[in-house]
Amino acid sequence: MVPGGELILTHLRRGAMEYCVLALLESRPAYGLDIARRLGADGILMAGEGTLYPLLARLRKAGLVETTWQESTAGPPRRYYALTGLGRSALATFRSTWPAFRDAVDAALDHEERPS
Amino acid sequence: MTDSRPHPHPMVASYFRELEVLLGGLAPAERADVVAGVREHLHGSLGTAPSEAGVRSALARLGPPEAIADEAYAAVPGSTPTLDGRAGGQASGRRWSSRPFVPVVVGLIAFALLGIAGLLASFNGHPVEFLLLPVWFSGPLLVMVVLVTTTELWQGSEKRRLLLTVGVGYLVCAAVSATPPLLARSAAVLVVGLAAVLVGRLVVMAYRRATAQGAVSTR
Repeated sequence: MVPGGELILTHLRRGAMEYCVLALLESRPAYGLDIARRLGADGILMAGEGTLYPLLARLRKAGLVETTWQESTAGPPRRYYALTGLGRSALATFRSTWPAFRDAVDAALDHEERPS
Repeated sequence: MTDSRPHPHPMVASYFRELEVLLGGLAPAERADVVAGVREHLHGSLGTAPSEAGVRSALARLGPPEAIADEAYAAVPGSTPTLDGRAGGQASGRRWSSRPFVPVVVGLIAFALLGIAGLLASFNGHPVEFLLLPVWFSGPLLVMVVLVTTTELWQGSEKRRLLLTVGVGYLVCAAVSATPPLLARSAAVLVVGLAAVLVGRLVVMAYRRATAQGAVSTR
């Protein structure tokens, strides 16, 4: 059976989504709904907004992010996620690894396309 | 905390019920973390007075609880997703009390007790026999009560309904036993039949939840 586009995306998201969340938190802390809206806008990085929360729980457990409660002007206090030192260095490592990986995949796909 | 307050809308309530059951295999702290995050998200996106359509679209944006559970189990060692969707190990983190055998055992014990009580009533059993039966049957009864109280396959209200059905069914059997044979027999059949249907539905419901959970953790 040929995997469909959605299945391929599900697999691809698994190694990369964590770092997209870390990158989004790099400049300033954010709360869940905010992260979901910013990362999920195009439907590529996330299929459903709910899948963000197991991922955040995992990042927190691994010590890559930490949470604080902050008062909100509209309703109950919100849980803000912030990058830890460990998270920052994990993000830096991913940043230096990703271009090589992306280029290698591109090169392989490109090679397949062109009859040589 | 405010974010643990259950949302009153029935669709939201059933969404979280399903989510909690599907996440039954996670460590309690991690499950609470995920559920609290989703809850806060939904409160934030719904606002104070959500319309029916608003609730529907907010839940659609969240995606099905199964997708959240899939993501949660993706990182649990031993439940690594595999191409054939099976061999990845039946979520080693899943608790025994949420496995499919639990509702089956509870159902068998409940049916056995009600069946014996029904037979006893049909033959106009003596009240003392109805007092002694639970003592003689105390082992299985204890197993049933322990399973019902520890499992996460039933919600609190469903657990109460199940135990209440068995208890009331038993007491009614004891009561009708003192009536004339024909009446006792027909009343016993009616009561045991009704109780069996009620218990049976709860057993099937829990069994489906347990097997759905297994499917999620191996997908």
